[in-house]
Amino acid sequence: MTLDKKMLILLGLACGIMLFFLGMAVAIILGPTTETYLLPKQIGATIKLSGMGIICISMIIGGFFVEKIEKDFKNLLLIFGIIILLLNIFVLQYFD
Amino acid sequence: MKNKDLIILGITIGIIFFFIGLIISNVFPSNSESLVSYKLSAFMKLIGIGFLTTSMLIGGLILSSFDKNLRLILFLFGLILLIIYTIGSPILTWEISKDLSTLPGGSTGSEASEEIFDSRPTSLGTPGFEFIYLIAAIISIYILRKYKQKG
Repeated sequence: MTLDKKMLILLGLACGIMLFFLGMAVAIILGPTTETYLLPKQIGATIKLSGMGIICISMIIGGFFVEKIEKDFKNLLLIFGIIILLLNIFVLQYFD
Repeated sequence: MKNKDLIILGITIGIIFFFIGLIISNVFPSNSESLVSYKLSAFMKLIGIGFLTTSMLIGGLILSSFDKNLRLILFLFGLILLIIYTIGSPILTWEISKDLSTLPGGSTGSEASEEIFDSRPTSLGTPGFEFIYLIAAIISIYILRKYKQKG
């Protein structure tokens, strides 16, 4: 299987989503977090936010630069990629 | 194994994991002393949703032999699921803000912690938060479709 741009985007999306959910699960499994014991939150947030970053990159790059994806899907990828990025920048940082 | 079989397998495993997680949390209820079933069920539920979302998104993009509208729906609902959990993710983590040893009255902190443990920060813990965003997403899609049809 050749690893062209489309496959890379798909791989990024799959790894990112699984990392995102794994981060949430790890925070719950290691938790609860207290004022003196912050490790679960730190590990969970690292995994979760890395996954979210990979998702955003894959969606925006996939929406802009990959030619093999159909036009409707590219538009959706770009729009939702930017929505997720903006959500993380402006909304979610106040709750995390 | 073909792409189609992989996607079907991913969706099936995701849904199975989710429901096994639900069954575990209901059959073996957890309390502040024993959190194992709670942690296990939360892990299984979240990994199941992860598999489901991944399969829906990737399936929408690569299943070229299927009808385009069908693929678009699969892709769109995968994205909606992702957005819902992105917004809901801060609520899904738990935190005990008070240091249990310093609670007033020499208490061990059981009253304060019970309240937090009972809130169960998983998908079932804060009832209704998914539905609010789901309804908002469906309304937005409906408006977008209307707008596109007019254009």
